[in-house]
This record gives sequence, structure tokens and C-alpha cells, in this order.
Amino acid sequence: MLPDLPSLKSKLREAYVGYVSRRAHSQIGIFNEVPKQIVHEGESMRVLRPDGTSDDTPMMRAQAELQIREEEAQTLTHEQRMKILNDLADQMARDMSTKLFSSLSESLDKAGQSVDNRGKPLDAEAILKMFEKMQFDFDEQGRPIMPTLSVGPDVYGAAQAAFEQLTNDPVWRSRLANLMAQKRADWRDREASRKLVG
Amino acid sequence: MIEKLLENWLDRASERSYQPVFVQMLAGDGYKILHSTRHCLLEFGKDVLAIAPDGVGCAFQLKGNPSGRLSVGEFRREIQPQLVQLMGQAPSYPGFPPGPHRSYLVSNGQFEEEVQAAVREMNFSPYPSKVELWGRGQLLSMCTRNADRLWPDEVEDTRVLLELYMLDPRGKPPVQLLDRMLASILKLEEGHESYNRSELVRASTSAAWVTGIAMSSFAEARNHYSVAIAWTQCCVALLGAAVKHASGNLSIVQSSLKLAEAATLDALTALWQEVEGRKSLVEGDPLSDHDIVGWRITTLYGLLTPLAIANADQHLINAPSAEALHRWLMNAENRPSLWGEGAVAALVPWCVWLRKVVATTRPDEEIQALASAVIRANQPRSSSALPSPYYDGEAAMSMSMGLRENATSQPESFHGNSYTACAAMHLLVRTRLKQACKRLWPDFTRLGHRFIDLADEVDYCRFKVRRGVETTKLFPFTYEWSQLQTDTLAEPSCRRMPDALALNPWLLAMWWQAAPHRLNAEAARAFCESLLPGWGS
Repeated sequence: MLPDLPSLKSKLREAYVGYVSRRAHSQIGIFNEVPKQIVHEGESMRVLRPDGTSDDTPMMRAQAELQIREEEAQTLTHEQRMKILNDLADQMARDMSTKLFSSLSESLDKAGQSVDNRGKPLDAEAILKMFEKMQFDFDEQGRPIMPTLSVGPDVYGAAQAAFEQLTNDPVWRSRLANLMAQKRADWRDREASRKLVG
Repeated sequence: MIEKLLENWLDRASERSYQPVFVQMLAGDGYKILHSTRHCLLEFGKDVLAIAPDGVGCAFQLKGNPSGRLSVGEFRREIQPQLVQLMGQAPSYPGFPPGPHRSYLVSNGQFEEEVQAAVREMNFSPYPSKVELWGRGQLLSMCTRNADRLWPDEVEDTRVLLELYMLDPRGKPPVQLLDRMLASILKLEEGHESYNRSELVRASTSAAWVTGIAMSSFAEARNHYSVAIAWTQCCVALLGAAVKHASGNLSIVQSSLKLAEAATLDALTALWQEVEGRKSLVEGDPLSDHDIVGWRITTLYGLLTPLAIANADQHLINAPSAEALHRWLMNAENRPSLWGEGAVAALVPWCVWLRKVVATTRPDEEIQALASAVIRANQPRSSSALPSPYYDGEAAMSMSMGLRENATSQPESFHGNSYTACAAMHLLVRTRLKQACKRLWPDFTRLGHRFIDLADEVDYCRFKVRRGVETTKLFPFTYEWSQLQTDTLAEPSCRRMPDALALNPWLLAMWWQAAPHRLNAEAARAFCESLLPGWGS
């Protein structure tokens, strides 16, 4: 073999992997804000619900590929190397996003938590329908802890308009307030039911 | 290379560190070991009692003279009187054969010519037993002879053994490295083929032998914590091997297991003797130790509680020292730190032991405080959630102090779930502090209760396993007190750990100090039933 510095290369590789991981995670949007838990042991995950039902989730592999020809390695500029790493991170982010959304969608469909808007544009009605399906928590002051809505760029304008309507239009504002009042009552009942009896 | 390593080991070892390896070699040579401990030395300094393959009783006195020579002055002053008694009186020990026995003076150094002459002279006396000298040369040939049979087969195991041997002996226990080596030697991995009886005997002896060699520098450095953890791992791996290869029949691994248990208890006793003799619990640089001392107290609780439990049956330390140990464990001024969920694995055995020995309300108060601290710390919006038990003290405290080494990946979030809250709640249920349970229940239901659903009993004996299901259990918001009592007290239909471990509370508690994530509600139940049967029913 030719003279080599494997230990230094291992540290560099770790730094590159760290960079790719950070960039990939920064691109998966809402999923990057979800608390991260590590599965330290085992080959799958299971949730045991209070009603005795369970939900099994297998592990999924997210992957991306890079190819550098040996003869290129010597002449790569810093910019070219960064481009390769960025491409790798972007591929990884796409793969992670697709799998995460598909897994989430499957779980929500199974739990009857999906809203089918039948091809209509996103509007205030659709958002209220979504809120109706959701369980809300409230803070110590009784304010709802509002969810984050994740939308694609093509729907962003419609979503913004719908929220403006829910905030400013008296009719829609009243409907939202009524829904939140119901959610607050549900939350109170739910919290009050957390008790050891007998 | 192997011979060089063994020579290096032999030339550095004191009797404390070479005794566990020596007895494994005796066992490998067909001796039946009756007694081998440092903590409970027999009269006349007999460190090891064994029965030779020809049925004759043998008494060994061990001396550590690494790279040195035993002088005649030292011999006459310290050893000869004991040898005379040893030659004149057969050891009275259960199972030691009647009739003339053999006496051995063993040293890893050389014997001066005058010492050899003095021993020859003693052997002309009319005593029924004669003395034989085993010096460095004898021990080295014993090592190389045993190495042919006991040295691990896999090259990777040799690499790991060398890595262990070269570690900084003042450091934390090398749990994962040792686990990998023991699992390979004992074929504990899924997919490994099974051993037959003779293969298992050899592998068991090999596992204990390499543990002794791997940890010898730690023993020399008097790092009793790491030594005790390593021997605990060896014990538990041997139990796992008995389950995997012999349907739980312990007799095949018994000889190695007993020696490994004795080595664990030796290290714990030595640790206690050090604690007992200390004016303070500060170690090394006092400035940086300030942040560590709480962890140290918790760790000592985790280690000394199993010693107190074992001592109740085995009388490892004398009565005044045992009383001092109880006082230390009950001293409310030694406040442990709850540095992570790993600390719960140290505090649960202590709380249960306290319940066993104290007739006041203090144990119940400690259990209530522990359950409350764990459940409240990990609430969904907590900003100070306890790291999971998969993080040891060093990793957990590095995170909380902002000293995390591998900062390239995102840190794990711990709020909203817990691995130990369920076990802590079950302890609280046993205290029958019903109102306290009721107060904690709402917060308890806000947690996801995580555990690994193991595929096999043997997996409980591994530090980490690939198979199994990482499970999160959610409790109903409204629950019956009677149902919670049933959950706490009822025996599960199948136990996911070897019976021999469930029935040995000090070893189980020690295993949690090596692998804190193996503490779960079911394991805690087994521990309680074994140490304090019927508590809370």
C-alpha cells in the first residue's frame, strides 16, 4: 500500500458525515423539530396503547450514494468537494423526508386521523377539519399549544391566506374559538381523568 | 506474542491481581477449587484450597514479588511461621480431604537460594505435609500451558483482550469491550452454534481466565470499581452461557462462576475497606472533583449495597466492619446525585435493602422521593429530563455540563419518556403510600414507559442486543389502585432473565451497575421478591 494516514482520515470522514447529517436534518423541515429518540437496542419498535392495542414499526434505512473516481480525488477543489457533500446531504434529506411522510401518513390513515380534501385547495374549512381531528394540549394559562403546519411551497400562499381568514374574519374566528373552547373542555376532561381510583 | 504478554502480566502482578487467574489455571489443570478469596483469608495465610486431580488436598499460599526475589529474611520473618503451621495442621474446611495434604508457597518472583534451602530443611521435619515452591518459572509454564487451551480462538478476541490490557487502569469499567469479548468466547450471540458440555467447560474457564488477565492492570491500580464490574459481567455472561448451551444447567459453569463471584466480592470488599478508611470521598483534583462527588456517592451506593446484601449470607467482612458499612449506607449526609436514569439502577437496590434493614419510615420516604424525582424530571415539556440509562455517568454529565465530545450528531431528547419510572412507581406501590401514588399518577400517565422486549433470557445477560423490540407502553389515564397493585406484585407468565440471576439479588443488583438499562419493572420485581419476599402484598 501507499503511505497513508488512516487515523486523520477517519477524523475527516467523521467531520464530513457530521456535516452531511446536519445539512440533511436541516432540510427535513418539521421532522427536524420533533424530539429525537435513539433506539439503542432491538430491531423494531412497538407502542403499547392503554386500550391494549399495539402498533409495530420496523426500522427503515435512509440512504444516499456518492461516487468519486480515484483519479478525480487528487484534483478536487474545495468547492467541488462541498458540492459532492451537499448533493449527498440533499439526496439523504429527500429519502428521509419521503420515508418519514409515508410512515406518518400510513399511521394516520390507520388511526382515522387523515383529512381528504378531495383535490380542493387548502382553505380555512380544511384547516378546521384537521384541527377537529387533533388532540390539543393547553399551557398553564389555558392557552392552546398550537401545532406547526407543514406545507409544500405550492400550498404555502393558500395556507397563509386561510390562517389570515381564521384570524381576521369574524365568522371564521368565531368558529375557531368555538372549536378551541371544545378542545379546552376535552383537555380538561382528559387531564381530570388522569387518576388512580379505588 | 501471547507468551510475551503473559510474561509481562506475570512480572507486573501482585498476589491480588494474579490470584483469580491462578485459580482458573488450577481449575484448567483439573484441580477442584474449594476456597479462593482475599476478603476472608483463612488461618495461616492459606489463600487457596483445592483438591488435586489425584484427590489429595492442596493448600496454596500466594505471594506477589513481581520481577523480584523472595529473600530469606522476608521468608523467615513473614512466611516460615505460617508454613510451619500449614504443614502441621490440615486445613479444616468443608470438603477438604482428610489425610496428608500438600502445601505450596507460590510467588510470581524468584526464590533466593537460601529460601529454597530453608524449605528443603523444613521438609525433613516430621510434619505430615511437605512444602513445594512454585516460582515465576513454574507459573509461567502454567500460563503458557493453559494459554494453549484457554486463549480465545478468534483473532478479534485477542485484539480486544490486548486493548483491554492496555487501557488506562484508573478509568471507568470497559463494559462494552469486555461484553464483546465474553460474548464471543461464550458464543452468546444469536446465530452462534451451541457448545457441548466439554466445550462449555473450557469456554467458561477461558472467559474467567481472560477476565482476570484483562483486568489485572485495573486490579494493580486498586480500581476496585472497574474490577468488580468486570467480574460481575463475567458472572452474568456465564449464567447466560448456561442458559444458551445447557438449558440453564449451572453445574457445567459452576466452578468458574463461583470463582468469578468470589473475585467480584473481593473487589467490593476492597472497595469498602478503602471507603471505610477514607476521611473524605474526594478523589484526585479537588477542583474538578466537586462536580463528580455526587456521582461517586451514587455509584458507591450501587456497589456497596450488593456487598451488604451478600454479606448477610456469606459473612465476607467482620462484624464491626459490617456495622460500619450499614451505618455508611444509612448515613443521610451521603447524598447521592440523580445524574441520569442510570443512577436509578444504583438507588433502587439501596432503597429495597434499606426497607429490609430499617424499621422506620425512612425507606418509604426515600422511595417516594426517588419515584417523584424520576417521574417529574422527565415530563413532556421538561427542560431538565434525565438522560436514559443507556448513558453512563460520564456521558450524562458531559451532556449536562456542555462537554459532549461527539457534537456532530443531534443530541437525543429525553423528555416525555422514561425507562425507570415504572420500576420506581412499583416500589412506591409496595410501600402502600396510596395517596403519594395518587398524586404522582397524572404525571406518570404523561410519560411513555420504554423498555426493550427481549427475545430470549440469554439476551438479558448481554450489555446490548440487536434483536428484540424497543417498546413504549402508555398507561390508561384512569386506573384502579388494585390493578396497579396486581401489576406490581404478580409474577409474570414468563421471566425474561435467567432464574439463577433472579434468585441472586446481590449479583442482579451488581449487573444493573454494569448495565443500568437492564433495570426494568419486571427485573425490579424479581429483585424485591428475592430480597424481601412478600413485601407490599
